[in-house]
Amino acid sequence: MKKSAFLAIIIAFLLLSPAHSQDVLTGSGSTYSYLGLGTISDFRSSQASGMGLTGAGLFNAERPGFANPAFWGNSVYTSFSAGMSLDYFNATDNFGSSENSTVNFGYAHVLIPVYRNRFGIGLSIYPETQSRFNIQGLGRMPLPTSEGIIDVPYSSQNIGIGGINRIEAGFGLKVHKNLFVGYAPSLLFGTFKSEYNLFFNNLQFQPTNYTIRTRYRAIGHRFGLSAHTNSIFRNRDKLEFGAVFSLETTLDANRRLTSDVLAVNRIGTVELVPESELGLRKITYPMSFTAGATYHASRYFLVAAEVNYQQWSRYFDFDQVILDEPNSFTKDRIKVGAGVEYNFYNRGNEGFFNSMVYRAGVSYDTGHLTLQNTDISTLLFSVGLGVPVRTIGSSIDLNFDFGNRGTKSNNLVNERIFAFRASFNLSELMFLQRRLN
Amino acid sequence: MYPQNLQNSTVLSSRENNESPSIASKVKFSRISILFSLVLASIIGLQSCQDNNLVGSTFIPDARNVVVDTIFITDFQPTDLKSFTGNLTRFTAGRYKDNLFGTIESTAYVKPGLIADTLLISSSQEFYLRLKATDFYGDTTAVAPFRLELINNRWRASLIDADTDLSTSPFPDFSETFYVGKDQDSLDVRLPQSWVDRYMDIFTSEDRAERLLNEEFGFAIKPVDGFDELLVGFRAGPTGARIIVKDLDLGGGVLNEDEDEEEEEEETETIIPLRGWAFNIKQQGSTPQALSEVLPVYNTFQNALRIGVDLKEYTNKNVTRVELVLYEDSLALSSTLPEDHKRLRTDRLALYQLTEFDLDYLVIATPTFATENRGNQDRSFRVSLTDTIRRLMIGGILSGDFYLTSQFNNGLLFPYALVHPENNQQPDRRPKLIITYLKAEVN
Repeated sequence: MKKSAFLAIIIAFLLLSPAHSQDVLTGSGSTYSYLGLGTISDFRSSQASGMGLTGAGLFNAERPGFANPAFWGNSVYTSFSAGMSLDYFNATDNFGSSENSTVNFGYAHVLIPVYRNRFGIGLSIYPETQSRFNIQGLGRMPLPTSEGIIDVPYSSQNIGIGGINRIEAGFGLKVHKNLFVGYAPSLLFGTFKSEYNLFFNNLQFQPTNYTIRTRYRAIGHRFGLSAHTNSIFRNRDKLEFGAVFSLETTLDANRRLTSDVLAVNRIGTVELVPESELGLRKITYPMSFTAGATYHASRYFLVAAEVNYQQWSRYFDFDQVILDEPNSFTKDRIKVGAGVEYNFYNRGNEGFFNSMVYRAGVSYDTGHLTLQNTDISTLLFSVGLGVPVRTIGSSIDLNFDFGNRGTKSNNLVNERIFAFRASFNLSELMFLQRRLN
Repeated sequence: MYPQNLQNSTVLSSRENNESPSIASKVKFSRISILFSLVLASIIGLQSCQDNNLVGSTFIPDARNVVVDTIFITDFQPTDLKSFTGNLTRFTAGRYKDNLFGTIESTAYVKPGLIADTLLISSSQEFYLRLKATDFYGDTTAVAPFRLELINNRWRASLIDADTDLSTSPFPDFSETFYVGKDQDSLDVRLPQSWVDRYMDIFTSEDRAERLLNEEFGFAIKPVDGFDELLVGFRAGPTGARIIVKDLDLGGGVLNEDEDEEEEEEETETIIPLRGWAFNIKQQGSTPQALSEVLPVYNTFQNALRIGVDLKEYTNKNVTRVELVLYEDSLALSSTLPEDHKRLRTDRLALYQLTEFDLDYLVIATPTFATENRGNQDRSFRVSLTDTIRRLMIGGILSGDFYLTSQFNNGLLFPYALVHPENNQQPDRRPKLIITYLKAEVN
């Protein structure tokens, strides 16, 4: 086993060499992230992610996560968790195909139980949406010049990166022995940069480009509720219910247009349209409601289900706000999911496979986009692997998602999605005097 | 006290037998290592995918919104720039009544220098002013008559400009008219003996250099009154106009038309180079009607055309190409020339960038842009201002306004006509800027 592990590491490092030169920031994600504020990131809990859920109704004492602020009131361990993800998209439409991949920082979360099982505070930073695209084009365009109309070959590239992030600080509170509530105010912020480059295959025309940068800021509020009851159908079983409500908020948005100009060996950034010209705009960021239930059949097995609703029909794009016309491409989103977890580790059997936690789930997302009268829905299958780290009472969670988004009908894009997420959770009984050693 | 809600936890206390694996450390190492390898392999495998996104064209708008604006330039101001006509490679003399540009008259000025060998020449020899005619503007069948006069005052070639009119007077004992036609590329004009004697007096004196400066001011080559059919360009410099001294027995006053005699000249003639030459230009009686229909451009910095276009107006555009386009008014140029008349061919325009400060001084800079229309079927002159505007965009400074001249300022006269901004007969050929830029759609 040790040899094979060592060999695997060597192979991995050898393979890393060609990939190392790639700039992860130029990687691209879903083609649909071009629209609006990008694609929506649902990751809130490393445990629930392996079951295709956000985890609003799935409490874990070791790593409560930030899916539901109410969980923080029921926490015992001081914990820190963080993660990253790697997404791969194989996109096809009726005209071609592309393969894109991107590596992203996932999240960071700190939970401090001020009073164990009664009151805890949590700090988190995590993405709400993500936009990362790289769209290329080739063609010819007729351009009038003094010599007449010239047919000029060109290539174009539209690179976008950005997303809305939430930095949050809140608390969870026990209001009854089986009932917890939580509140987490937050700052929503993000920058979107869309850079368009145009290259002409004609020396008379110089390459040109522009970058549209849009900044967003808002104050957000999340409320959480968690309740559970024990021994319903059998001894030591448990039923949990959780709900999270995120208020609709208004993003303050500023946009500017710049261009990087190269002239006689000098390069400079020119502000073509300053922020002041377009002014401050108010963008509605939609409310979100998630409700979930989990049934713990035993200490080893649980099944969970969840429904999520987001009112994206109220979202106005930056350009649409000034036109005072509703977006044509967003609509309300509903996502449902269900999953199971089997915890071999808790059985205490020896062996490699008996020392892990296995999870699986499926989710269906109607999507928040509708194009050509077609909803951009996503069907996602998830599997997860929890690896408890015995010595420090922490864990590593590895999740794999694979599924399908969109459709090729109506000349839209169908994306096959493969995602890998790695999270590590450090938990410790800080400020707690151990009675047993 | 352990927490109560560890029912689903994975801490050791929850394990069924409450025991760790028998060789925990070994298992732990292998497990973490394998997982780590798995993570790395996944990252490598997926991240190695080539990004080549060419999909989504139906809902991703085409951002290549390339716009081409044509802006006609209407502001052209004739401006006299400071320059000089002295010691250029050519000088011009004659008079021609051009149906388009009016009567152009030019008087040339030359002054002899000295040679080092004082024994080579004497007043018993014949002295000639040799002229090499190279360019003819006007009636090519005509023969231009000229008179030679004495210049009365000291002058410096580098200070002579087109408006300079030096005071002259006829030779007291010489009033011969000489003629220059297209068939003559070289002619010798016999200088009167009175002048030869005076020159030799200076030449043989001890302070001859100083006396030459103060006493010998040279000759004016003036077109004879009443003649207005031809302007002649003469070559200057070592192979151009000069004073020739010949022995008496070789004769004089004949044209040396045969180039083969150059060798003989070197053996039998003594050359006294000119120490300065220049000319003036007087333009009279231009036809206002014609000039309102064309943009006249000259090569002498007289009436250079200041182009009134503020390029800073276009610095907020994401330009990829900016062209200044000017068209020759071929129609006006050709329709105003009678048969056998011709103007010196112009196929080049020069654009000088000059600040107001520069206008106080002689224009000695090379042009910022020079453009030719050779090979352009439409006889257009095109200047790329792309870099100029892009430099302005990133904080560069425009070093003055643009001033337009024709051909080279080499001592010949190249009056030229461009299509006027208000020429309705040729609207597509009016002066214009063609600006191609990428427009971003932001609301």
